[in-house]
Amino acid sequence: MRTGRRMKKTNMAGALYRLIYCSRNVILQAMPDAVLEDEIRAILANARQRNKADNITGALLFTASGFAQVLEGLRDVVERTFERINADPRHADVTVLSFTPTEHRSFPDWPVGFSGQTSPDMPDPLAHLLADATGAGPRATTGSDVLRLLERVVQREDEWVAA
Amino acid sequence: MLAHLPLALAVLDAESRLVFWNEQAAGLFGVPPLMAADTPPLTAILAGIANLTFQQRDRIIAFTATHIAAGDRVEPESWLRIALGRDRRITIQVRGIGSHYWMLVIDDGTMALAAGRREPAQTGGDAWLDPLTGLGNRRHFNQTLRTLADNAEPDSRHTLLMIDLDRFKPVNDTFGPAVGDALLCLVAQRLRRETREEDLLIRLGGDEFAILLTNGERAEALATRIVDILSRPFLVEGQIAQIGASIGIAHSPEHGPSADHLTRHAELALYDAKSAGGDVWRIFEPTLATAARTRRDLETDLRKALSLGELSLAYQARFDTGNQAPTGFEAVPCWNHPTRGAVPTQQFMPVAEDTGCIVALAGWMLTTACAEAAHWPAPMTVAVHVSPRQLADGETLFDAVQAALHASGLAAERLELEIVESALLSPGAPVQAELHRLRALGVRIVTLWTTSAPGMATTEYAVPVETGGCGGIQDDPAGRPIQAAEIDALLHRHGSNRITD
Repeated sequence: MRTGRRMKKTNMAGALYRLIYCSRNVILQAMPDAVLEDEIRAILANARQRNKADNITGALLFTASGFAQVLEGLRDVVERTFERINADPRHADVTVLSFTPTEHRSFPDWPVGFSGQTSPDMPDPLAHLLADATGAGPRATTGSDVLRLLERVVQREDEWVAA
Repeated sequence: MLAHLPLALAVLDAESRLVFWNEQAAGLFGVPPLMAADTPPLTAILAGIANLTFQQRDRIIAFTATHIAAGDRVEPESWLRIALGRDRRITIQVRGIGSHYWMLVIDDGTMALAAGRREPAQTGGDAWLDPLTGLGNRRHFNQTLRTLADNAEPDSRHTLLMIDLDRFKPVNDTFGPAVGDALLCLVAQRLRRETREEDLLIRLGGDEFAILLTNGERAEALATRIVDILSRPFLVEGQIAQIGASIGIAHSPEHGPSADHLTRHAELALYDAKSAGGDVWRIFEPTLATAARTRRDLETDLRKALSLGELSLAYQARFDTGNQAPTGFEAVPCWNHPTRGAVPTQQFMPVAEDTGCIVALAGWMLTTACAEAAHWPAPMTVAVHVSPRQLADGETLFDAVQAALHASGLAAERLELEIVESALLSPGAPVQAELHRLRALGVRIVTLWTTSAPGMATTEYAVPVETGGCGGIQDDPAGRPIQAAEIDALLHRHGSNRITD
């Protein structure tokens, strides 16, 4: 779904913006895998439906340690969407890495591109990134670190949900 | 069509949130346009009705909830009548629309009589609502507390949360008032989402909010959640804003019988949360009231002390480490109160600092110390402590220094201003600019490095460590601050003399 809409390069409510944030996961600890999978499916289904209606695109990486998400859309819509996500008690230490106007979308085809990390053998790509973002790690995490990571690992959430 | 009926109509969902209302309802509720995009809870909307008491509001909510819970089983012709003030009455009816929505039909006498003339309701609504956030305003808050006080039942319990935003001012200063206002609206929205319909949500003004609960049991959980949720980042008008919240909690009747106590005690708890550094909540404790009273009494006495001549300066000698000769003195303010006796310097200086007495007190200290030092043989110095608050008002400080030097004739390089290190850390160039101006006069600036607990910034007052201030018997001139009259003897012992006019 490529948007042909022309965006003004201002910080007007109608300008195209990209938000990148990460947060710590606080739901995983006490949850069996099957329940967790249902929980994620529910989060995704809800997000996909809302984001489609709001013309929001982006990507979500979800691991044992946390969430990293890119949201792209009209500035006021992104602000409203974030306000909703932000309040979710299933995550904490929400850190906004960047919120800037952008020329084009990085994930134009995905309402919520998704990558779950289900295999415990793989290293958690968010673990050190979250430590850095909250100041506990050796260097500061930037929005572009997360953007690159998401571009690399995201697969279509449709495929995952269908699997 | 609905818009032109002489009735206020509002459609509610099963959670008692408004999904639609007509023009008459908007007039009655005094709803600001920005709420139209939202689905506000019934409580928030009812807050806009002029002269509606807390109890009446509860009756409407209970009445509505009964109908929603009962579905179709309630007799459709049951009405609730509410008197607003002396000569106005509204009648309310709830009707089911299908199985998911309910319509609140409100017949406002004034509307039925003169359809289209909505001014009275509109003015009334505005007067009770904060126009920016749509929450209740301070007037609404005061009215509710008064109603509570008037109708206090023996078993009625209330809990008040006073909320003050942390770091709001820098956001407002950096991004401008438009972003600041939008941020306050988002704060109101987050608070609305965390509270229940029966809670009274108020914006007291500025960045101060209040929540009145009828069930105090969840106060701590709610406060914890609010501190958490308001510390999460805000995206507002294209900017990222990071603030926080401090909360003070008081329960009635445990923390005092009257509504007035409730407010004051919640404020004291809030003050306690603020001085702990913010981003926390605190519950009122009786010790907070005692401490506040002691402080207030001290403040009252301190304001009088200066004019009654109860304050004096003592001088702490400083010696050359080599030949042990005195190189100068540090001025230490002393307070000898007729009934309190000698008040420790560390006790009254923070009060002076917090209450603004410091400005007059510091001016007096500079004048007195410089006048005394002018009698000491050159190049003996006098050191005077400068408080963070004085430094923040640099121009007054500069004028006071200049006036004291001029009046005494003391050479500027013989005056030393001692500044607590933390005062220099406060952001902003003005402090540095003022220090530069003072240095240009020839005055020496000395930084004091203090070790103090976080959050103690306003209570820092450096006094000579070995004495802990003045007020004792001065039998050891080498180690304690001494009175001006004794300086003569000390100088004499070291082979120099006081200069007499």
